[in-house]
Amino acid sequence: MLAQLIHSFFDGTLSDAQSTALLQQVRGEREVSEEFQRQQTVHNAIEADKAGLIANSRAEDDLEAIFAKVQPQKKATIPLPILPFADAHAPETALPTASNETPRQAGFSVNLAADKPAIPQRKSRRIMPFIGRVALQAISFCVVGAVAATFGVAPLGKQSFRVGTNETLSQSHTHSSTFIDAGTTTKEITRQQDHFRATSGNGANGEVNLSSGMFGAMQPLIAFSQQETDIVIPIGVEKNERTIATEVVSGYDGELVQDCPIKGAKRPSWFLDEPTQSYATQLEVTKIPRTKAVKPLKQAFEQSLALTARVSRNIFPNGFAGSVGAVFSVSERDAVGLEIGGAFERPGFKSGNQERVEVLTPAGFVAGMYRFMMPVENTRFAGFSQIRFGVETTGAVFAGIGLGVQYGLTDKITVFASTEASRTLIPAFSGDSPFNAAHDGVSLGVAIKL
Amino acid sequence: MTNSSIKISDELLVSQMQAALQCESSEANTLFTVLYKRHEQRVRLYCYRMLSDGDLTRDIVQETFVRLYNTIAEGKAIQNVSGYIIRTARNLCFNHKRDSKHTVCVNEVEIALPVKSGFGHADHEQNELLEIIGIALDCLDDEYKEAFVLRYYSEMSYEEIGELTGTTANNAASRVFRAKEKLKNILSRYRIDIERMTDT
Repeated sequence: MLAQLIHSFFDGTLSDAQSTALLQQVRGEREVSEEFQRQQTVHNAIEADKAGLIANSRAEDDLEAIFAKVQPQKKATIPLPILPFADAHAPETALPTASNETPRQAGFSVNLAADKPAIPQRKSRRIMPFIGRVALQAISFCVVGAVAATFGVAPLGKQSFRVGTNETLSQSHTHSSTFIDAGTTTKEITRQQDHFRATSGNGANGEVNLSSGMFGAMQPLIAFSQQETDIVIPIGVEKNERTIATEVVSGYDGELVQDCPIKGAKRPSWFLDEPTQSYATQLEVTKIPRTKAVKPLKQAFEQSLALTARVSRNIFPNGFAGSVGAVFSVSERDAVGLEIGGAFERPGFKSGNQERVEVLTPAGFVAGMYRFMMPVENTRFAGFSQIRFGVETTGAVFAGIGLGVQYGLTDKITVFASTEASRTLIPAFSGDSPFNAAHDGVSLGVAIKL
Repeated sequence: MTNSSIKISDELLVSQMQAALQCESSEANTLFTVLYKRHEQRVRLYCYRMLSDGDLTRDIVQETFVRLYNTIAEGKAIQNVSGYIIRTARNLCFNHKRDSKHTVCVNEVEIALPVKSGFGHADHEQNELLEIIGIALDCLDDEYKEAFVLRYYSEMSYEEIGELTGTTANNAASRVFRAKEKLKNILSRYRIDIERMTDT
């Protein structure tokens, strides 16, 4: 009670009268005085402790650190050099002296990758086995893509080529082009920034933004394939000269001519340095209808639902499986599905170090699926990779990854073949033995689009 | 800024800071500095005495005020700035203790002190005494220690302590008293040294 009273005094919760009475007691009574001094020692220690901590706090440094965190410095960006106008007849190879450095060299000297932020190192977690599967899946994507590109079906390969070309151009801010002037072809080196003006012999003239990447480069090419051909001929140029110009261009293997999506069709191009010059107004257009319609490069995607049926031959454990399901194409690349089926397998039981295989046993399963599609453009083939999660009627939960290929017989019917490896996530127990639902196998199936 | 801004309430400071941030004015940093100086000490003392680690304390103080700044910058309303700050610091301390799984449990203290140079005092004897106080606090149960630290280091009322720790004001007062009783017993043998230290 006495300690509580003195505690209240130090706590500041006593009234003035109570405080006065207590202090009188402290002066007069030894027991009260000792208790008072003991509690005072605690408070003195606290005050000394606080003073020591505050004296060593470095609060100002912390404030600066806080501001540095909430207002991070903007990335230091290296400005690209503003290249001076270069003479179109300047030599391509630059002089090596630093004092006489050419704009081309200056453009190449900029290191655009200098400001990449450091990627923080992630902690390793128990998810590593799963990451291994994802890595395996990624490798399979690469393999299918490489096969498609190798066999030349080709839009994949072509687009890859274009991306490479555009990146090179946009990083260097310099490009080489072919300048054709009324029947004479001269390979010139021009230096321009960010865009050039392309006047095409087929009417696909316009500005092409190099920095817009693959799709920007594709735009005039698509226009070329879908529109009738226009040939722009400067007034005053004799017909025989024009013919010579076209022939020269047709025989030239420049990079833009190579990009033409129609096999064997060479595309003559003229590049004008100044889009506003009066020369451009002195043109007349002659239209030559195309003799052959060209299929569009890419068909529009539509979301669709397809019913699937699939039979599997399981290599391990030895058995068969079949399922029916539905697959919904969310996007051109993504599809999700649900499968219901049954498996006739010889299930494995594992107890300690011993493993035994039972007789052929039927078991049903329900599985959800995600499928990543890799369509090969302008063909009916598509590769795919999929992951499945499911549960068997035995209670075992399994997950698997698969890799396959599909071929569209018609617009509605597609057949596919795949290989899959599944492993048990949650084993089901039969007695004291866990039931193993792992299996590896190959599947054949058919999908009918609704 | 501003003597006038020092006198105004935290909530008003926050609203002014939000307005300044929308205008991208440098006044926001000035207002935040005022908030920081108002609350920094009690947050720092709380964190230090709960964790007994100077570097970690600085980290948590910084993180607490970074979160405050970001919350203000997002335009969110903060009803009780003081409570928000101390609650953030408390959560960060608990998160760290949970992650580090480090506990100190000393029931009877016969202290053989490692003399650290963390207090900045030239006098080693004084450093030693301050270490004694810290270790004595570490001897308390967490709930008593926290109530005691919030009361006497962060200078919060029992109502605020009760609200923060999820208990009643009376319970908080009871915890503080019990913690003080235990500290009193531990520190009684160092009474003469402590008095000499405080006199100097």
